[in-house]
Amino acid sequence: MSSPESKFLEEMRNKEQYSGQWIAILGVQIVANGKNINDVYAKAAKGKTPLLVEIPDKNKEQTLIL
Amino acid sequence: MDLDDATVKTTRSASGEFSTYRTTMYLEIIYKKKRVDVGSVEVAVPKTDPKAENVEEHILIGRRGFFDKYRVTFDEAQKIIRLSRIDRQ
Repeated sequence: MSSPESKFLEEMRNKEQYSGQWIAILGVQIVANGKNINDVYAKAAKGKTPLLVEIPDKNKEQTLIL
Repeated sequence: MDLDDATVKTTRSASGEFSTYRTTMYLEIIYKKKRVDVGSVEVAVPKTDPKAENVEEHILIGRRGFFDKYRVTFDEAQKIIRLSRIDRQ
């Protein structure tokens, strides 16, 4: 089962422009982006639940802390 | 879920062996209202009652498909779980 956001992510081109950043996807659009997941979430959420995606930076390890 | 009988394999656990379907699922982590993309992961779905409403509670992720792609660290002292993507070239 995939969401509209995950399908958009799968089909997304030019991800490299967001290298090293988090992006927030709601429906079929990117509604926020930035270096800090909490800042991106705060910009994007506004009562909704965006999908947060970290676009890899080849020079850095991706780490999510819960 | 479209589960294929051709993918059924035996899964071994501490409580014994049981049959599971093998498939790929898209995974998100939902934590404190945030949905975070993990991506497509190979999973095992127990063969018994795969249409059960709570089947997602029984889906298994394993060494191939998840733990070979992510380093998971449980830091009880700091009360955090650290998930690091492993890049294999």
